Amino acid sequence: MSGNGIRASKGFSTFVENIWLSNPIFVMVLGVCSSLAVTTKLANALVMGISVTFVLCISSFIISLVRKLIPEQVRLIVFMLIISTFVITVDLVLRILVPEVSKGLGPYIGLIITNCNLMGRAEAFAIKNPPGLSFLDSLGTGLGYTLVLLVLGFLRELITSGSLFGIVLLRNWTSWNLVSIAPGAFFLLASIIIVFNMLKRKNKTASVTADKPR
Amino acid sequence: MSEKKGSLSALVFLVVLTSLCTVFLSFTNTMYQGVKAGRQRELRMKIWEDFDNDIDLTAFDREFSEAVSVKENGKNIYYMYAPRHLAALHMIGPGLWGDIELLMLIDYENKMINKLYVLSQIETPGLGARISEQPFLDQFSNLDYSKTVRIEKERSGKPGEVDAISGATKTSKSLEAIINAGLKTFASFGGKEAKP
Repeated sequence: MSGNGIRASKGFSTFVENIWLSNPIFVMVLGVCSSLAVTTKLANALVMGISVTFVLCISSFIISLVRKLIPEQVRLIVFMLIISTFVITVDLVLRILVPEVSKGLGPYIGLIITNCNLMGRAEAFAIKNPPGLSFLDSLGTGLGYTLVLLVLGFLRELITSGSLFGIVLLRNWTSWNLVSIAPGAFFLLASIIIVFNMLKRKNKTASVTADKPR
Repeated sequence: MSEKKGSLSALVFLVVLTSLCTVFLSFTNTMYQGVKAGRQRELRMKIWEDFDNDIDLTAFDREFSEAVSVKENGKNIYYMYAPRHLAALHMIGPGLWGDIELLMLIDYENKMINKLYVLSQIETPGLGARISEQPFLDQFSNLDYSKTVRIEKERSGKPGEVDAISGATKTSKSLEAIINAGLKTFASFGGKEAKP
């Protein structure tokens, strides 16, 4: 498939749209609780983003794979079973591989089960579409979610302690502790959403101007 | 009739899926329990060495269980080595951002702290996280705990005092609380020999 062909494909457009135009946090405002709770440190944000993306992709893929076998009346229970199995697996794997980060994330890894994006993608997309497309849809959503978490984690850790990934970059930094607590993060996220919407509006205006006949 | 058949097939589907998920999770949990047991053994080896013993890998588990009595209280585990009046207190308590995990070696006859290790913490980098740094931990070597341990901004010269980390008041206070609570619980055992 040529470059243009890939870009024109449904999978690619779904993938890109979920990262940016339908970003789960900026646009759909889903999964906000965890994004405010775990982004005190960049490492925590990264691990949380990867975990959610993994669970999203694998659960959507499996749901899509068995979608024709799932009885209509119990589909939500089936989604929950599949999603919670992989959330528990991720929790145990993190405890084995990165025990310190796992402790830092506390109950929030287990609470991925309650992340609206997971049930949302399963019900809105995976149950109606083939596995490959569902995987791309979830990958886009997961990366969009991770992107926002990384931006928040980067700003919060830097402003709070002048460090990134636990490495002190700014010596004698006067920490701004307001950003480290959840209400501060809420204001920070709101500010980022304002900037995002301004950029989106600017792009829209520019494309409309370019499309006008001369 | 067809509605009944539909409900039955849904039930069968759920039973099969639940069974598959359970088998998969049991397998993952078995792997995790193996790693957890390995980590616990490593910690016991560290304690055994700090009790001034050599490690003989083949006989370690037997020697440790024969010589060291273990008591548990919530998340905390207390290892008592009666022949040398030494004890190791494995304590976990809340810090500013998450749990702080400590291992503290004490001489309970002379009421002295011999050594303190911070096994894990997720405090603020550059501030509270400095409790893991050696110069801070060295202050706990040969520290009298006959009254209480106090982590102070300004020391008054009384026994049991340690310099706090500036800008990390909450972490210092959390650490102080974990240590004192652990020592208090250990004292409540009355130095009685616990069964291994």
